Amino acid sequence: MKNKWIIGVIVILIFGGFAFYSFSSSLSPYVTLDEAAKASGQVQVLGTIVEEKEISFDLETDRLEFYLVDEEGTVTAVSYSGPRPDNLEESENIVIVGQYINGIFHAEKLLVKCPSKYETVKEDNL
Amino acid sequence: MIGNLGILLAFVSALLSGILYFRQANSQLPSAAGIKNYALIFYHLHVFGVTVASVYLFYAMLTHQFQYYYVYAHSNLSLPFKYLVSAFWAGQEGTFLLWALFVALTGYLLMKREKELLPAIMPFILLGQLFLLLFLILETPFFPLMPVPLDGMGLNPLLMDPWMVIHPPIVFVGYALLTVPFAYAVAALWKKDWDKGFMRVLPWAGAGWLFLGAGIFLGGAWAYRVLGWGGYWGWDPVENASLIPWLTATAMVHGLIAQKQKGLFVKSNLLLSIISYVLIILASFLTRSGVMANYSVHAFAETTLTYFLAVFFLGFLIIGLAFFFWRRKLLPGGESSPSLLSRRTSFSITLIVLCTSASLVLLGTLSPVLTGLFGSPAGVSESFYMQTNTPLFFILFVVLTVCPFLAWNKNSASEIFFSLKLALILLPLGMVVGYTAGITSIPGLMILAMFLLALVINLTYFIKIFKTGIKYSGGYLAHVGLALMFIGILGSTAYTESKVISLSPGQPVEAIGHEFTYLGILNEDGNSYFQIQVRDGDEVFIARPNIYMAGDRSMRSPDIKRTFLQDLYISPLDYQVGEKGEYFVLAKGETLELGNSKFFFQGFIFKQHANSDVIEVGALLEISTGDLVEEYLPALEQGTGGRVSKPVTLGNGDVLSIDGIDADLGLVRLLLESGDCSDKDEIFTVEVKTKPLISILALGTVLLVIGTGIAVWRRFTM
Repeated sequence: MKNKWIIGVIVILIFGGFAFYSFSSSLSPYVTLDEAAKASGQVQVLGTIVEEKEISFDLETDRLEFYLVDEEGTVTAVSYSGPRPDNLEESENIVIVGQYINGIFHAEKLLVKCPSKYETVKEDNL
Repeated sequence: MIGNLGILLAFVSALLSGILYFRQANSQLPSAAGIKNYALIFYHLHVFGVTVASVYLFYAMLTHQFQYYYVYAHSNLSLPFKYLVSAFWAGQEGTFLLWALFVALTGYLLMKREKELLPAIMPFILLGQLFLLLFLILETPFFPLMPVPLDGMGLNPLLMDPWMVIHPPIVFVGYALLTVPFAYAVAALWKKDWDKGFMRVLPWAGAGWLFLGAGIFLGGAWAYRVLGWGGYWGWDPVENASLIPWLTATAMVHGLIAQKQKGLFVKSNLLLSIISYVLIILASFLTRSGVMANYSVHAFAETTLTYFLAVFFLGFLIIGLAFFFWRRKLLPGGESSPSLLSRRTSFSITLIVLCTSASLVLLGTLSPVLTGLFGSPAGVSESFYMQTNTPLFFILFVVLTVCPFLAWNKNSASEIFFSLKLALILLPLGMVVGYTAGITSIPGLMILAMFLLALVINLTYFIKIFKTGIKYSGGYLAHVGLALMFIGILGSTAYTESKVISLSPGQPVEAIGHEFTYLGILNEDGNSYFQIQVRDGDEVFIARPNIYMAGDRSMRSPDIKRTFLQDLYISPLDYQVGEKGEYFVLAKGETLELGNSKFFFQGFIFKQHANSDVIEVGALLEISTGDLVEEYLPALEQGTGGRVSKPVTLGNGDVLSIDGIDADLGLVRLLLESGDCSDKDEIFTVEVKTKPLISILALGTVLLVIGTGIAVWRRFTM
């Protein structure tokens, strides 16, 4: 009987340790662009696309390029490889996930908000 | 007006009905026949109210009553009928109304089947309704707009897809049905009837689990076929939010079956019934309250809903746990199982593993909120979910393989032999199929072998039991489906190959084992289809990914070529028309010969606009072609807003523009582009992927749903 408990506790400890390790190593913090420049691992930055600058597709690198401004007002060039999210232009803000390489933010993922689906925009219409 | 009245009526009658049912349940007197059951009468009124509101919303949607904000915000005059119907659940308020409607109707079904515990169950069902209806009173879909708009804003284009039409209703049927186990659990605790009365919940739990699972699969199918990133599950918080209660519901259903057969897991089942519904409320909280707004693709902005949903969540959590705590000493405890290799142990492991998985997914999903409490918020990447769930599901598969042999009572040898014979055929066959589809590494093949073994064993028992009666075979069929799903997940997740290629018309490019040739654009029904000829060995077919306009946005749609072994997924990334242009630099007074023309740069002409600091610089050029001599003045406008190029069109259709000037040195850089469209260089960039064994995954989900359906049907009709 006791053996089962001991085995169980050991299993839990091992798995718990593994889960903890996996958790902390996969954390990508939400930071500003300034902090992202200093960070070493993957980070996430919330910002808005700079409208005045074009969103263009670079044929040589096969990456989407645009400019992002974060909540502090810092602007950066972003280079993204991956399928272009459908509502990129009119999302209110987006999250870029990746890291800085040589002064350009290389984004692996783009999280784009679905605009206004569940928003109460009623105030505008009154 | 009528819609709001319906909601109000539903709210008031739910309150009264709930109170009366509560009193009925509380009183020790048997209900005398002949005394009108007012609780039931108020319940009829409640259903009537919700139905009236729902029917009216449908009516308003179909007849374009744009004076209602909800109709305005989610439809327009040009929306086809089927999407007008689905616009009902396109937004917050509509989905709550749909949810309330489904629960109300579930109540009727419940009344047909449950007599004894009904008065104890109904108050908790109605309490949930009160929350939903209170929200609808505060945020009504019938909010009036003044002045009445002439046309609506239209439906979100991503929702205009058949999969997205049925996904929400199915999920909400699941939510509605899973209210029942919660209510049964609390009622059973109240009335101390957790062996016989509570057991009657099994079909409801199974049905709720079935619909929620089917809804989740539909969501994945939509993501794969419509969104274009080539995947079906992104571990996005909103996706996770519905997965977590589904995992605990899976545990609940299995635990209930064990309780039915051997009276086991009473405490766990009660808790799982409570927690699954509470997690559903949490799911709604996470997706709608704005807490996750910055951390998820789908999560929506913050509304007043936040506090409301928090109260809903906490209220039900506290009520459920309070009842459990009240009766905890009376509940049968679990004795330890006599041996490690018993069916009972396999059930225990299943429950523990599923709950661990649910907890980990919850932890990952809430990580931004949790880390935010202690420091700067951080999310977890996909790797966390995959790393932690892989060993868990590995354990589940070992159990899935071994469990059928561990009968409650005795083993029989005939099944073992049948399995061996089946394994001898299917295992090599499956390995060959897997290898051809792309599973080529040794670890992958070993894992595939394990999945195939689970498949074979469950298939054995399915066939055996199917012969004695189809009704009892549901569980095994579902497990066969599950094994197929995991084979499909292994193939499509670990062995997918992808490449980004740029295609020019007529020039074949080789990638991922296929040859792709871009043929050109085909315009049909307002869509632009980019035709790509794909050659795979001897097979040739035309793929048509497209880019189309929905309002003023461009939407991309992939094309998927499905075969048994793999899907070929083509996702349009970008389309550019590159101009064949030539740059050249001229100094003042210089002549350059290009083609059959001579370009002579006479000099700059400066103009300053009267009212601003906008300066226009023109380059005066004399262009002679043969005997024809003409003057052109391409210009550059420089102002505070930036530079604007003003090109000129030459006689032959070419376009000449200034690319840069150096006034001090008297130099101008010009760009000469062909005006002839056929000279333009089209470049179509796509991402092509192979997704091995997706068809097996799809087959697996279908069998899982059918198998579960059979099992639920059995429980309802037994």
